Amino acid sequence: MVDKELLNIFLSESYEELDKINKIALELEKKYDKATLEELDRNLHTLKGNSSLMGFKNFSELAHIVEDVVREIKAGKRKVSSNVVNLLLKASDEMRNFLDNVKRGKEKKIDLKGFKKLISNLESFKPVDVTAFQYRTKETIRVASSKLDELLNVSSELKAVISSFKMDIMLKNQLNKVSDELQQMIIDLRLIPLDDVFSNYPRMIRELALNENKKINFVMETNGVKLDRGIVEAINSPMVHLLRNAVDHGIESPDTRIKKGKNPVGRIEVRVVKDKESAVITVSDDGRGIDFRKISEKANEEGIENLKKEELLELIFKPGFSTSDKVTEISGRGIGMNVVRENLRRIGGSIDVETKENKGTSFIMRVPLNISIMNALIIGVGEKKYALLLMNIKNVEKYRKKEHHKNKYNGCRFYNLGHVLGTKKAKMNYVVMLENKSALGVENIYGKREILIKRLDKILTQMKSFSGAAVLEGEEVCLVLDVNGLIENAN
Amino acid sequence: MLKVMIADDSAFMRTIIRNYLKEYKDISIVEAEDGEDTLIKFEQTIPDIVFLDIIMPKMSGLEVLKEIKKINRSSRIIMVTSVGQSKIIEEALKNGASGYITKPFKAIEIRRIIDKAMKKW
Repeated sequence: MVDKELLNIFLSESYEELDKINKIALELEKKYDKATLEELDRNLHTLKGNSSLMGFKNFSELAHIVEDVVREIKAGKRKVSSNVVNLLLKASDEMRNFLDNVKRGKEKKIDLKGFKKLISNLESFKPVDVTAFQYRTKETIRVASSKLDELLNVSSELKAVISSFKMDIMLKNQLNKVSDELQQMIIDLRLIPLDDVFSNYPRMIRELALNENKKINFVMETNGVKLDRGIVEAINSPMVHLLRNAVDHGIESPDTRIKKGKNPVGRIEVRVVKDKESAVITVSDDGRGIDFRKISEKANEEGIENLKKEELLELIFKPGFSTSDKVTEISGRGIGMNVVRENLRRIGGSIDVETKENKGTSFIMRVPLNISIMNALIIGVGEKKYALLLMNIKNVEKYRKKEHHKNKYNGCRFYNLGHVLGTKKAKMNYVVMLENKSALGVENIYGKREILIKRLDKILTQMKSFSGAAVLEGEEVCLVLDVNGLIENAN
Repeated sequence: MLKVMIADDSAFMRTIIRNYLKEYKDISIVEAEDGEDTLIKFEQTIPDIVFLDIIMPKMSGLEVLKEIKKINRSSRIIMVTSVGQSKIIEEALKNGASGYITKPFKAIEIRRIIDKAMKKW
């Protein structure tokens, strides 16, 4: 009988070793030195020795035969080829599956014969299947995210209860401080480093590029940014979609790139930076850029003419809009940029695009760091109050009639919040200038608040203008405005 | 008190050996996690027995062995090896290692080494 604590140490150490092997394997094709090979050898060696002591002979033998391949490379008897990299990745996948099964109390045999055949025949080895890319989180305790949501709700109720009681001011301050700390800790618990999630992308890009016969240098900088679990889940599929698009539609074939005088190796970059309350994730490629002619033709077919460049770019986010002639393995299969935008919108995020012919395309996503607690400006029309997230706001000023010309205010497109939401008499005392270069006329400003956003039921989310609801002081409920949806409704 | 050092970059491997030594009372255990760490801790504690892994980061077990022997010749060094390392074992023995165990080793192998040392000590 294996000691449970020992098994846990074995599992967590083995997962770590496999992560290292994966990382090294992906770097091998670019460059490697003696130290890298030695580290790889050591990782495999540790896996081999540890698993043999656990009695996992099959696993140990797989580590052993792969270790032999690495030693042959070290001794100069074998070269690093993309097939060697494939072998390393496939073996590490297989070992990971094995560990996953052990964790579930099962022990499934590894097909060693298959691997031995692969090794003896490394020349004609096909890349591994790319269809399923899931992300894995590190070995830590599992807590249902719904529990964390509940915890957050309870802590915000606690804050509300404290503020509603009359008590000694010192005591109240102390209680407020503790409850704030508690809330912050719960918020932090929900944060996941983007590195954990994005670590699958280099592998995915590599496999996609192999399938498409393209050469791609993939660069990723997450700068240690951490995001709320819910946000991370919501951006994973848009990220995969954008990266697939970049490989498939963005980067040209090596031949075409040479003809254009470009480096035959294309470049795809993912860059994440923290900005105020949001993270800005940029996915860019140095490929062919978005073809305005094609979009314009497609728009003409649908009876839309004389659009400016920005308006044409907006079209790629419309449902059912695709300029792709062919349906490839990778993209062009229905889910489009509209789904990407929709996914981001649901979490209060946004996406913009910049493109230049033959220079490339960048998609810029802005997502909140935290899904639940955000800073908002409480604004109002008549008796009603609404919350507008601070990350969407540039500045607020007094309404000045002389700046207002038809539907423009100070050069920005202008909307009267009251009119958009269907109130007939809508006074305007203030103008909120938004990050998306539009201006919103409102009657009242109540000030800045930290709000706990609750998601709305599905039926309500059909109302595009709102992304959630929040409880203000005195149990008053207000709706959280979705800036993009609001403007779409107005148009 | 018999001083035992376990030098291995794998926490799992260190735990296994430590578990095998649990039943001994008069024993103190020092752990090291790479070649350099082993040398530093060896100098500080001068252990009676060292279980020394061959493949470790920073310095290999063989390199560590040679340095250790310069510091104190009488410590007993047991190389922790794997199948297929016979050449390295041979070299280690030449350089003053007292013996070796091969993964997957059994508890009894570790205990035999300790028992023998206890008698001498």
